[in-house]
Amino acid sequence: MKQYKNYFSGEKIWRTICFSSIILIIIVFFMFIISLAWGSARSIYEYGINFLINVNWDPVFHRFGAIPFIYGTLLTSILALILAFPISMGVAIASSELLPKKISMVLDPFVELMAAIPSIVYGMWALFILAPFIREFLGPALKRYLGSIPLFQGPLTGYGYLTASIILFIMILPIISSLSREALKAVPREITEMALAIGATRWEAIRIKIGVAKAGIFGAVILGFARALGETMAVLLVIGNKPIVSISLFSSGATIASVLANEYPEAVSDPIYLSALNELALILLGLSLILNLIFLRIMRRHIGGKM
Amino acid sequence: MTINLRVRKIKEKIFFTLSYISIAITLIILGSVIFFTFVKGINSWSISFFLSPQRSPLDPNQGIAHAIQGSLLMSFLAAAISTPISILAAIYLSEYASTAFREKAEYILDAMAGIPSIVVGVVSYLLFVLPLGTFSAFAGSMALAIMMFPLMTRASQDAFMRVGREYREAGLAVGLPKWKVSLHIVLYIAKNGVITGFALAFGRIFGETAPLLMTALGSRSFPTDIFAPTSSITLLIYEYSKSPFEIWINIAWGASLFILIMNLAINLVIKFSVGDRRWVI
Repeated sequence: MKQYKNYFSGEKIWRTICFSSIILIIIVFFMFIISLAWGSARSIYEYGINFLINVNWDPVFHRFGAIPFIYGTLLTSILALILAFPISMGVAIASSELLPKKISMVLDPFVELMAAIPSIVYGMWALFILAPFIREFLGPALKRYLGSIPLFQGPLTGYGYLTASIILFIMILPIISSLSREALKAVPREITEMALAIGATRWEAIRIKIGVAKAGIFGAVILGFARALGETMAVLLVIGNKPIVSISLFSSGATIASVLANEYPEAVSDPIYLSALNELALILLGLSLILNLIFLRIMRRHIGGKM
Repeated sequence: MTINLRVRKIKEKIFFTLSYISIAITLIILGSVIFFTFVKGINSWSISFFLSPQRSPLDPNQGIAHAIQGSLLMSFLAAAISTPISILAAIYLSEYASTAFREKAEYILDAMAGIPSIVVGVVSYLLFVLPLGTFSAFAGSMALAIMMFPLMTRASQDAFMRVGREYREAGLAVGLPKWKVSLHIVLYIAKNGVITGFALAFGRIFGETAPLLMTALGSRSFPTDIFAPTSSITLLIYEYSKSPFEIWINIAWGASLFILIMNLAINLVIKFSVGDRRWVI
């Protein structure tokens, strides 16, 4: 091998070019952390830990607290997960276990197609179709039957945490369902056969399968959560963009991603304001990297790499 | 015993029904998104919609031509920057890298693919807008190129690694140097996989909005300068959707339909011709 390399100097050049390419991409990755840390240095220095515990966000008076956005991000993402998990499991079970293969072969691509629709298209739909639907039908119904719970009190505009959570649920549904389906399909056939052989019903056999595939399903949920945290455009259009903390799901709010999209272009003339927004981006980057690494760990360990 | 079994059977029925209901809910949602986008968007499609730029919000003879040009400009520039680098990086990973290096690089690439697009926008602002002092199509392209890196690299690498060992050995046996083997044999055999990866990544960045908000910013006229603010179809949808003018809102629906059809077409063609499964991630 060594000897042959010397005969062809083109080999060395080619290898160097290829190596520089991958190194360049890796450098770009680390530039994310470096540039955001550099960009938010001023805010970190000036506000320190207060940035993370202050509930006020008032750029005019330079009061910057991240709590409203962290709260909004976690609330909408968790609510989206609560909605998406059972339905995704239902879809995964139906397409991998219940439906005839011919139907699920046509159906699966359509479910996965949902993941390919750009978020601005979901945003338009959410803004003009979903939000009025929630204002006119779903919201009043929730108020009537669950109005005693503080979550469902307060004025109903159609724009707020609830609408944002529902559109997030729709956007992460195909991710969780198709990854869960793959996890279920990876379970050895013998397990189902054994369960059926000792007299389990089909549902009980599926439950055993879910138990075997639970690591993969957990990974799917983590990835769905990571996607929900960072989703911007659809949320931006329907959440109402107010930096407040409210227990009511009907209330307007904001997420880290939505405030970045909404305020960044205006903030460019004010270095401290910009630095505070950079710090929010750094927090979002940290959250999504941690969740993605957990997901990748699980996938590598239990599914064997290929996704 | 029989009562017990009956309870278990009823339980089974309930869960199976819930499962079918989940499928129905999913299809209703997907159908609703496609139906409303189509119905609301198709009306605004006309010749002027595709050929005219933005005019005053009351002028019915306006369109999204400037945004289409901006989108094409930025997406193709991003693809031109990102594609060769990604393919070369993928060749290194599949042909040269040690297993340890490859696994670390795969981790980084997969983590990078999961970074929210809005964060890519902020980073691109800091790296390309701040130093140049202006929002620009160039900064937008760089943001999109960064988003494309991990998608293209992983897709190409997967395609290369599926090429059988014996092809490489055959090339080496007839005396080709390794670089010619990777270029003329591996890349050639894997070209469908690479093209698939490219189309998916291109579709993704073509429909991307968030990173362009703080890099390309948007503009009301045709792109003339790569170092000036530029519009894109998605930025136009965002801007118009917030406006109080009905004509603009209708144009936003039309543009939304355009983006939707582009994406569905790319994905359906790939899905049913290549049978590739990796388009969720």
